[in-house]
Amino acid sequence: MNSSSYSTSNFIDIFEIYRRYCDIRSSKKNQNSKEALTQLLKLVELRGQASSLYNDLSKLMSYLDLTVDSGRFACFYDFVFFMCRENGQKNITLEKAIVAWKLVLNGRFRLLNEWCNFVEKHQRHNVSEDTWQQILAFSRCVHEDLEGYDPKGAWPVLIDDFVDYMHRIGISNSCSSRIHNRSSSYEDFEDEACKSD
Amino acid sequence: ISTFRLGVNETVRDVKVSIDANDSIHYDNQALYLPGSEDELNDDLILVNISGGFGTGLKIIGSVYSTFKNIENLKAASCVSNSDYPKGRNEMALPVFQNIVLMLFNNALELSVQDTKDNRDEFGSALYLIKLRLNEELEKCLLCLDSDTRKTLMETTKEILDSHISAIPDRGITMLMDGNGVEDMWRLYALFSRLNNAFEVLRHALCSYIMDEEKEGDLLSSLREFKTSIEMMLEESFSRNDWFTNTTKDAFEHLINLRQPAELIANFLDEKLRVGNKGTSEEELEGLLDKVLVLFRFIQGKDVFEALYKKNLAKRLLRGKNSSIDAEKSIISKLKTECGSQYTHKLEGMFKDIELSKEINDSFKQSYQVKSKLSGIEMSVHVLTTGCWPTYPPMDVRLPHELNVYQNIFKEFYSSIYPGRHLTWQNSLGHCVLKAQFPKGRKELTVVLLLFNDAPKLSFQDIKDSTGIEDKELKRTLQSLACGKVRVLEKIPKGREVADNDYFLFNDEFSAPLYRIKVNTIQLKETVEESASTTERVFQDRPYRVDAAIIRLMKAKKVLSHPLLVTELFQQLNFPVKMAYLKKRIESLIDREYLERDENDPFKYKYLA
Repeated sequence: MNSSSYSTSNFIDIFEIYRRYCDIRSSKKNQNSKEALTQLLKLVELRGQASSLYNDLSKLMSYLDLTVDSGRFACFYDFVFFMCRENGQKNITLEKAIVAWKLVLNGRFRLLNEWCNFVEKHQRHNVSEDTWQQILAFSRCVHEDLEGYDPKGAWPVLIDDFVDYMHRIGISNSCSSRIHNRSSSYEDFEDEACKSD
Repeated sequence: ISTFRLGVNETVRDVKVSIDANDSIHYDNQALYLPGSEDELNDDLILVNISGGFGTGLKIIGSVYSTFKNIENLKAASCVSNSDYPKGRNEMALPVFQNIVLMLFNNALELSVQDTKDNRDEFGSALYLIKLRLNEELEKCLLCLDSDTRKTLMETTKEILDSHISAIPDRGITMLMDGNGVEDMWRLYALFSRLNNAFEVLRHALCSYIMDEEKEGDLLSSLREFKTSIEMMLEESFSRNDWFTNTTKDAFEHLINLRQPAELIANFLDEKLRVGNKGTSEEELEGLLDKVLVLFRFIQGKDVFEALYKKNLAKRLLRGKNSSIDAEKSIISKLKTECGSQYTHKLEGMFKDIELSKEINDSFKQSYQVKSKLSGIEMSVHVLTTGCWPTYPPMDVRLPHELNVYQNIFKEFYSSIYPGRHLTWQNSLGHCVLKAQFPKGRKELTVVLLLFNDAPKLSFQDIKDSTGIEDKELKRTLQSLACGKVRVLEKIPKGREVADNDYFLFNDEFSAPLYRIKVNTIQLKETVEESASTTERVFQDRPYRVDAAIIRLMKAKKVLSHPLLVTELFQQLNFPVKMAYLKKRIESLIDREYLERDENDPFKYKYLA
């Protein structure tokens, strides 16, 4: 099927999946692309338990040059969501989302830790694609001190709640703890990565 | 009689001033001219430069003084008519005067505030009058002063008042509102209008006054009266200030929505529109409806009202109990202008159904099926469009054979006119006229159910088996027949409640003065339960209503920005919704791929066909 370094027969590696994903995305959005994505998802599921998913993703991330083009990163970001989907469900579980966020948004979203803590404590439902995507937009246009956030905007309710929460606990307070936590957050991620190994 | 001590340096003189019943002031003119008044001024001296003469100025200070006699530090007052007074003097004198006036004013205020604290109940409204009078006096005083002084004086007065305003409203508002003190309220409004934060305070006070209003008894009419009095106050005392108008509107909305207004109004209207509501003429009724509709505007859950109103209307229409179709239609058209045609669409459908049913019944009677196959019983059927009418729980009933035959023939007849339409019988809504032979005379009975043609005595279980009516409903029916006012059945053993092992007998002894007797079904707290469940159902429907409204809008506009969509939604939805709730519905629709966000602008939605 492809020249994967892995020996399993029906195994396609993450690079190949990503290549196909990007192909589908770049072709015009229509019914076909949706079907193609479903097909691809089935193929991904054939790989079996995504035990090494986060390893794969971080491998892919270090391989791709995502620093230059924000559009390319957005594509990769969406791809992460795509890969986290299970059993044909549209939404992904909270646990997966948090690990994935910590992986891909590290260094890109200044409130990443606050966000993950908040979601962990206050959200019980799965994370929808819309919320996933809007967090990227949020990380891009809203500053650390929440400047740039428009309460009248169309942010998903979860993000509104997050901002409320941040205002409640006091931004200054959280900022200092953020700096304090920075190193530990990285360890968290390492921990996660180890567990998934 | 008041006494002023006027002084320049060491020269001090008392001036006696009196104000007679006609408010004119008497004083010793000569006493006002003090020797040495051209000399340096000190704090003891007040020089008032009044163009209008002494009178006004004295009256000012005089009334302040006489109101607050206990202010001891009213040190001096000197009024000089000064056509020939050196100009330079004024500039020095004025600050002194200002200080004194302000001090007086301040003291007066402090005093009144103190007094309210000591003596809340009696002094409440008096406090206002004093303050207002002070204000009036100050006004006069200001007119007499030059513009610079006026300005400073105003500023300082404002400051003083500002520091006191929070103490003013709590008590006084209630008194003024309760006592309908339109004029005083107007004074207060005028006074406050000059101050910075005073309006906010007054607004709050007014708001909480309205919200705390407690009404008992005939809620609707007292609410209506309350509303009228507030309206009047608004008109007379607040010169229809937009701000206050909005405040009262919001507060009133809050007040009204504390007490299930939808239910109240729906039931009130039902009462008025049902047969037997004698004594109200058409015009009176019309006026009443208009007034009630004023309250209707404040209902937040207009959808709840719709459901309840519909339920009541259905009862009236099906049992032919409308007192006046004109009045019914007039309400519908009023609701239509209030909420748009969407709102009344189904209600109008109900009227249409009733009219159509009449025609169908007429032609049914003329049809050959009836003529050839049926005789004896007259049947009238209402054909109701599902969706327009309230939903009724289907009830399984084994109908007497005769009725079954009739129903089948009607069904046959109906499908010959409207092929493809499906008829479902709602027997629980039916009622019938029954002729029965009692030993004491022939009576025509309007009852819900009778099985006693074949057997004189039946057990509860027998009746249940042969009709298939569920327990609760059957018990209610039997209770109406055997334990109500009109006892055509006899229950063994006797008692108010129907138990499973009771027996029922045909009551041979029954007699009644009227030929036609109506047996009312006993209402088992039904109305409360019923409206609660109606309300419940309305609440359950709300997410779908929001979704439908979003889809309708998006379908029409294809692309719509978030703020626009939300504004439209707030306009269209006739029940209160929170922003977060709307957003959740929008997110859910995005999730279900009815909508998507614009790739370039996440605050814009696109409709996905």
